Amino acid sequence: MLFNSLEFYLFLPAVFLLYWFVFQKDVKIQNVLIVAASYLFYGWWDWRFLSLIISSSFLDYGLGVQLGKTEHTGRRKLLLWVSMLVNLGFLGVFKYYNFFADSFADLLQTFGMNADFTTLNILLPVGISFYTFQTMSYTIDVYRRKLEPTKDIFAFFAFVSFFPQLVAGPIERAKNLLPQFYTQRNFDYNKAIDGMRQILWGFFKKVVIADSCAIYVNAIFADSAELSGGILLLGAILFAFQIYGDFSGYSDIAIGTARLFGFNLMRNFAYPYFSRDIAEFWRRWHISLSSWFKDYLYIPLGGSRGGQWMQLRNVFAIFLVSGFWHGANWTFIVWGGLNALYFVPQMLLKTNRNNLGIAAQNSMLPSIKEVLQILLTFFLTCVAWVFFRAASVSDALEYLVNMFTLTGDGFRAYMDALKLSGENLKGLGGFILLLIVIEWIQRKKEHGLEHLKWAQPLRWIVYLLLLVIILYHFGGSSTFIYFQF
Amino acid sequence: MKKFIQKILLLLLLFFVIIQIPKWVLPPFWGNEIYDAKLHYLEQAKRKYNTFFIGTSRVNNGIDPELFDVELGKKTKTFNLGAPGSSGLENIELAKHLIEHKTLDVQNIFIELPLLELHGDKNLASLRGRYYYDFGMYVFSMKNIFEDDKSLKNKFNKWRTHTTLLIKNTFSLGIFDDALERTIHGQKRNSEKYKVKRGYNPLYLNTKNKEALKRRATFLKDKSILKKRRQGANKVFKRAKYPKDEFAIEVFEELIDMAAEQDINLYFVLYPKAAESIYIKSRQINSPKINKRIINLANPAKYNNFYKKEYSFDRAHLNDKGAKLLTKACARAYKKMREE
Repeated sequence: MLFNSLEFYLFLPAVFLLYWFVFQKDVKIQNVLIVAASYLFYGWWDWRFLSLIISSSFLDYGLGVQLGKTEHTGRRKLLLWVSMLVNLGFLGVFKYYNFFADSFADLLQTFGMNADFTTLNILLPVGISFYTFQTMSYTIDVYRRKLEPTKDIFAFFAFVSFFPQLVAGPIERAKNLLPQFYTQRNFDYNKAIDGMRQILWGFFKKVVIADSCAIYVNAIFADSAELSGGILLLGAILFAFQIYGDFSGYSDIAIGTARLFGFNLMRNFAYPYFSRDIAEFWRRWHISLSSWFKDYLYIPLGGSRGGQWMQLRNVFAIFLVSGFWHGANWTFIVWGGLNALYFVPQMLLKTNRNNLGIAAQNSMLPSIKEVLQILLTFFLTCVAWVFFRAASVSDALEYLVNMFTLTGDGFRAYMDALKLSGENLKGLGGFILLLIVIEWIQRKKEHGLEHLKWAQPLRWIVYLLLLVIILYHFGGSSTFIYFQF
Repeated sequence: MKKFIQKILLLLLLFFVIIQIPKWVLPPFWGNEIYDAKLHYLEQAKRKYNTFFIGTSRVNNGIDPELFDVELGKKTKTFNLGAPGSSGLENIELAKHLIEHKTLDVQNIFIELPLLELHGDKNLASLRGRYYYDFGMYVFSMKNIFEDDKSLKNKFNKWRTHTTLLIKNTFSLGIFDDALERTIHGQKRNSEKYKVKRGYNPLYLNTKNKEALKRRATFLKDKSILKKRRQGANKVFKRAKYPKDEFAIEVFEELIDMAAEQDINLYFVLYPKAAESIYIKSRQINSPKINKRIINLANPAKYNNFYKKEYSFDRAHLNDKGAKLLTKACARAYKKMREE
């Protein structure tokens, strides 16, 4: 079920009313309702894949219980390995099998050997990377004794399948989310109202920004060999806003929806395009994944300790794995590698923690230096996004070469050729500007509409205006980019 | 909780009121660009015409209004309101619009039968799907969807599409979109071009239209298509009985009554060279009230010329020569019907 679909508009109020009016007295029954609603939400795409979530939940619940019962180090390690192997095995089969088979066959061919591996016609279960990482974090934390294993099976199942964040995150840690399923939830008016504001802002980003950018991005990337550098640069910039609007919009809707049910999910985006360097960007972009890799991969590998070679290895490891997490394609790996390359100079010069606060901390406007830093960081991310969006590494390289070649027809001619309306593009530019301005003003807050300090009538005018703009752009139920991961 | 729900409901109420405003202050909008332009011209022409042909490209390319009037001794003043690819629901809405129109002098309406894709999803998701879909249309579509033998999943998907559309239209969702389109189209719309041939767009063999030429080339390659179309039509019209499409009958009878209340004559025209499945649908719309208003120009036993290459532009459309034949045949059939 998509957030921007008719089914969800019926589903959400129904679950909300049942949750607060029918089952409000018993937290266990509320959890059962969450599990049932989440399975319905997920099964709407393909009910067969529910078996994967259910088996993953049973497995990690059982392993957690067993880990709680034993102090034997070898046995504990074995239980952890079982969890890793099975969960990563699911990912390997459903997400990466064909990639490895194809890549291995290509490799053998370069050595003159012919290999005919059978590629499987496997459907990728929606959100498999998200919930797999979530369950794995539970078992790892229990293994590390950072978390008590739960005996409440419904709380655990609800934690794994909680519908607002099930298919595209934020990837929650058991330490944060699981305890919230044990305690009585009371309806909090302010929290719910803020949740609604965040949902509204999320829809604005998804429907108005991301979906509108997608029209241009799809056309430009489809015809990139024919287009001039200026248009290709426009395509890369628009894709940067598309993916931000799409993914952070989803996160806002997820976090806001969770708040309606009395849950606090972790923040996933902190205005990443206002970052002044790449290190800051990665502290602000897809925070739940970056911190997951930091806690469960980077630090166990040694983190920033050890010699420079060791640090370099760890940085590349985390970025390459992060790229590979996004999909079984070399484009994602190159995207990860490129970001690692961006990061390395900062690591070597020890400037990666220079910008821990926000830009223009004590003033309304940024300094010229900050503006230049922000623009440079944004440009670097745009270049990297080209690999993320392109169908293949060679397509991406060709795109970038053409992007930096300042030839070709004028802007208008290309827009006409692409059958894109210049008027609509101006409108989209206006909405992107609105997004930037609002998020800049709100950069100290969690989301674009949090605690607006305006008089109530003015706030309502803003909400109504956003609703109308969203409505105007609402063209159906377009899917979210990150669902494929 | 009470306060929260009250606020949300109040916000939604205000929202729905606001989005109604363009609907109240702006004139009706036709998402179908051709209807939009042709109707715009008619508004300017005021009471110049009294007879209107509604339908798809078969009407747009096949009925010559001037010739029709000549054949009837200039007793009618005809205008062609055909639009390529128009759907059944759209055409019903257009007929209703004409019936209820206060400033046009509407005396006769000829509406194409069968109406293509009466409850289909075609164009539903587009702007063209937004302006004519009301609750009546929804009930009608739902009955069709749940009566047919499609799978439950198929029924559900159709339900979702139609329900979304109904919600959009009921609450004017999308009206801002329409308003914007209207502003843009208002400037672009070239309604004056319909003055010359009164909305008729003949298909000449020496046309420069690339899309039309492509269709013609495909037609010329397929030597057996006309034979197939003729055989299909023959088969359908020879068979005496077909199960009735009660829902379509209900809609058309209601339309006849609406027209009668305004002293307007409503006729249904069956045009030649359609696919067999379309004619089967037409035979399912079978009631005495409708039957006596059907002008059947599709039966090869009576109108074999329409199935000849000489009069064809492509597999589904007549050329300008064929259009003249068709218009004359239609005028004669209408005259005979009136005399009877």
